[in-house]
Amino acid sequence: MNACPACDTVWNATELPQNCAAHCSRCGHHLSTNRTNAFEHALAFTWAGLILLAIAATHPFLLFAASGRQVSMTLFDSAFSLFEYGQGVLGSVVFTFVFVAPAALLLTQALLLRLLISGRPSIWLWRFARVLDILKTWNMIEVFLISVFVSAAKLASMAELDLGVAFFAFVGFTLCTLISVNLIDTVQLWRRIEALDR
Amino acid sequence: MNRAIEQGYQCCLRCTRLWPREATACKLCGKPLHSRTPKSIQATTAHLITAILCYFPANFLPIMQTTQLGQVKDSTILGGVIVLWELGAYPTAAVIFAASVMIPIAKIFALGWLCWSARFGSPQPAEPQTRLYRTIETIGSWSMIDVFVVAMLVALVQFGGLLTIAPGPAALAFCGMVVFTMFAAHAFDSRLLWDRIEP
Repeated sequence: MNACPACDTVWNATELPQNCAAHCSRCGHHLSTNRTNAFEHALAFTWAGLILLAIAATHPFLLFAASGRQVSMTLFDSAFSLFEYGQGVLGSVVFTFVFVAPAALLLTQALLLRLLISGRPSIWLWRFARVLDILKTWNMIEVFLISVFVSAAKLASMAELDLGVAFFAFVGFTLCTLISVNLIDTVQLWRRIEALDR
Repeated sequence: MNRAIEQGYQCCLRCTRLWPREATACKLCGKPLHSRTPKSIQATTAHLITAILCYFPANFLPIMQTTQLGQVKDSTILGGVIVLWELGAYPTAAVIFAASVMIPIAKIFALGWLCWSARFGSPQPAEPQTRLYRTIETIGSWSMIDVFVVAMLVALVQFGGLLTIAPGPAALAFCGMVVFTMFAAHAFDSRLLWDRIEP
């Protein structure tokens, strides 16, 4: 048996049919969605995201030209340039939210889903699933994407702005991360782990 | 009613499985179990007060410093919104204003009101209050937009003496405010809102 984490109303996750979503009968909170092959699809998006992240991290992100001089930045520069101004704490926080958390999230997902789909019981299943729960909170990749658009709008009025290869890879990486995170339903994930443990 | 607490069970907040009231940790995912999160209102209030303390430096100190041909100009968050508005970038100005000025204030007030309601009761029904809480939790990280924009601008606008942008002290304060409001939202247990209806 399960309960709604928002209002404590009891429900039964085993009664949820395939391709249906459950909402709490009392407070309306979304409880779980039971999609067919959700974990297989999520794994595909996770790998796609990791490949796009590798491209996004190694190529120029934005190119900016003013008064005959050109500056190009990579994804890391947005965090590291803060260090140069003595804002090390802020730089570390930004680096964690826009790079460490999403990269670790995708890696953990890839390992967890691989183990889950192989169907072997393992102690690493619940270790990875717990880490995933924390990383999901601190992954701010979609917020960073919007702030890239805002910065581009601000800079376009000042000088010439070019989008690098990494920019397009980064948009794809963000979409893949969002889709894969949303495909993994917490309740269904733990039910699957529980079934393997027995 | 069919609530876990009345049937002698407690719900794991990570995997939502039910366990007997005597259990101390979830046997499935290992999370410590409590029928209601202990000291939830105190923890939320403490984090909220920290967030409010961060709000003042975040809005009154400069968030970035522009040096153009030797002239130094400090700009605050609200100043940046006004500049964008005057430049005619209305959607961008609106996004920044909503994410950096409106949402943090609304979140702090809403969480404070929810704590008050959970502690002292409220004439409002629990359902819209729970939905409000879920919304606060979901939009938690969106206020970080401004901090990320500053990080991007500092990385890109480096033209020596011609034009340079440096981060200001408000950026860290703003970041602290967002993180502490996220902690506050995380510490709050929305099940308390339902307890005062059916204790």
